Amino acid sequence: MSSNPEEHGERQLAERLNQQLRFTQEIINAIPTPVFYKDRVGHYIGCNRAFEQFFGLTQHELINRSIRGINPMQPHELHERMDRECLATNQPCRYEARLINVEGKTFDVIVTKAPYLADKGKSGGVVGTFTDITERKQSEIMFQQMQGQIVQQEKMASIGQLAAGVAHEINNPMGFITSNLTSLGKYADRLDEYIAALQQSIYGCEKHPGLEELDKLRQKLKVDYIISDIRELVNESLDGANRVRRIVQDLKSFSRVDQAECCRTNLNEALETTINIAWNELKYIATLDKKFGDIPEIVCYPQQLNQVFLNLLVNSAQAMEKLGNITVCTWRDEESVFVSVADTGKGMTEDVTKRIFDPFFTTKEAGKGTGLGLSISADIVRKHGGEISVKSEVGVGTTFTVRLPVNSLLQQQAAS
Amino acid sequence: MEKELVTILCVDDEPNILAALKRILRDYFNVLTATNVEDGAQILKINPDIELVLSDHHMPGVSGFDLLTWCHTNYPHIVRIALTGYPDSDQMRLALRSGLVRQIISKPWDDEQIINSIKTALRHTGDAS
Repeated sequence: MSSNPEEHGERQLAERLNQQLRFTQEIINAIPTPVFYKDRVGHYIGCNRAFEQFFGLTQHELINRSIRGINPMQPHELHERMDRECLATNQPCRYEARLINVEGKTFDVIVTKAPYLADKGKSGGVVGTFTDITERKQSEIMFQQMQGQIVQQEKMASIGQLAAGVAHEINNPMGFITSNLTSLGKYADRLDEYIAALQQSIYGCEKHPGLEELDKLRQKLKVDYIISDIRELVNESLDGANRVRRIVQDLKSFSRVDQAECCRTNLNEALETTINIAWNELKYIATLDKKFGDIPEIVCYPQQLNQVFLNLLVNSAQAMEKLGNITVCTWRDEESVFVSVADTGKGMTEDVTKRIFDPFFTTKEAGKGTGLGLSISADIVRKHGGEISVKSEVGVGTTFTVRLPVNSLLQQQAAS
Repeated sequence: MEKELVTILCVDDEPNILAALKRILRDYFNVLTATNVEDGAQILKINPDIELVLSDHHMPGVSGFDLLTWCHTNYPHIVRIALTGYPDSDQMRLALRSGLVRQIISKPWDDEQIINSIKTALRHTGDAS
């Protein structure tokens, strides 16, 4: 071993530098948060162990490649833009993003990046870390969804109360209007009989004084016409009064404030009620066909299922760009009862149908609709032990199908 | 001699409802009316031949239930029928079960039905012990 003091000194220096380098690298590697660093043009120079584990890559596979080059599934514009911003402003930045590892698993993360200096004070590139907030985000979404549901349920409850109160107020006068119209009809019949008898008596007597005047008066007052019209007038008015009575009954039935509990329900009847309630939304934009099968009663919360059916009907109507058709079918098999609502509206793309039951997802413009309807409907159906599914074709239409078990979950729960 | 009509009392805070009831019932019964419980009680005191009371329950002031209860205590032979917009309420079910009322008629009523109900209810008073 040559022991040149200069060489020995250099070797010691190199050794110390290596130690220092290894130390620094080990520190970076030991950091439990993924760390990475890139050059000025966005190519990776290196990363730590946590980064490798997160993405399922080795540092070796990373070096000199850009995001695009590593994982084509990973959206890259945002990251590249933030790289450029960091370098341009010479400031750290922090943003939220979605990352996909090589297995295709997605994570919500918060990324922090900062520019670093290379030799001679020139800008070297960007170093960054990110924190996995996937779970936190999911909790946030669930919390918001629950809040949304609570608000919605409270709204429905107070609307139900209001509806019941209004229904009662309308029922009272409708009661005596109908009764009085019937009485009026009977009175008219009797007057008719009397007038006929009078006329027979008067006209039977040729020399009856004032016959001519009476005749003129009868013509002027259009008595013949009135007598023939009274019956119809009364009947048409009774018709109107009955329609009001029925819609009030439907409203009470729909809101079921008096019966927000579980009970045996015939879904065909529930659908009839809900269709009547929704009719004002539907009648101008769609024709409605009902194909109700022979289905058994099921134990359920009719108030909640009515909400689901109303949601589907209103969505169908709103999907129409021109006059279309909505068909409601019910049928059963051995274990389940099915309800489908099919429309000839504009339909949805596959991307949309995949997300249609997500809370807060909506295709309606800002301010219209909360996007809560279908997610709550799906939730209600699930709580009944059933499921809701959708099939759609753009330009053709959409069909939602609700399946509910005949031997309902609620029934089983009640029995246990 | 003309058969005398049975006398009945109708109580409801809405005069229009009383007028409508009177119209359809006057061919079959002698109809007395009151718009509140105090007047109704007064009429009961001075008309011993009243055989049936038809009363709304939801009224401002003293409720129809109180009138029916008072009637049950003081004139147990009088048939009591409740007229109500909430036939399915717990209160109503209890009233029926406890015998406070013989029957419940819901609003809006059907003319034929109300006439038959009253006739039937009166026919059974002879059997009641």
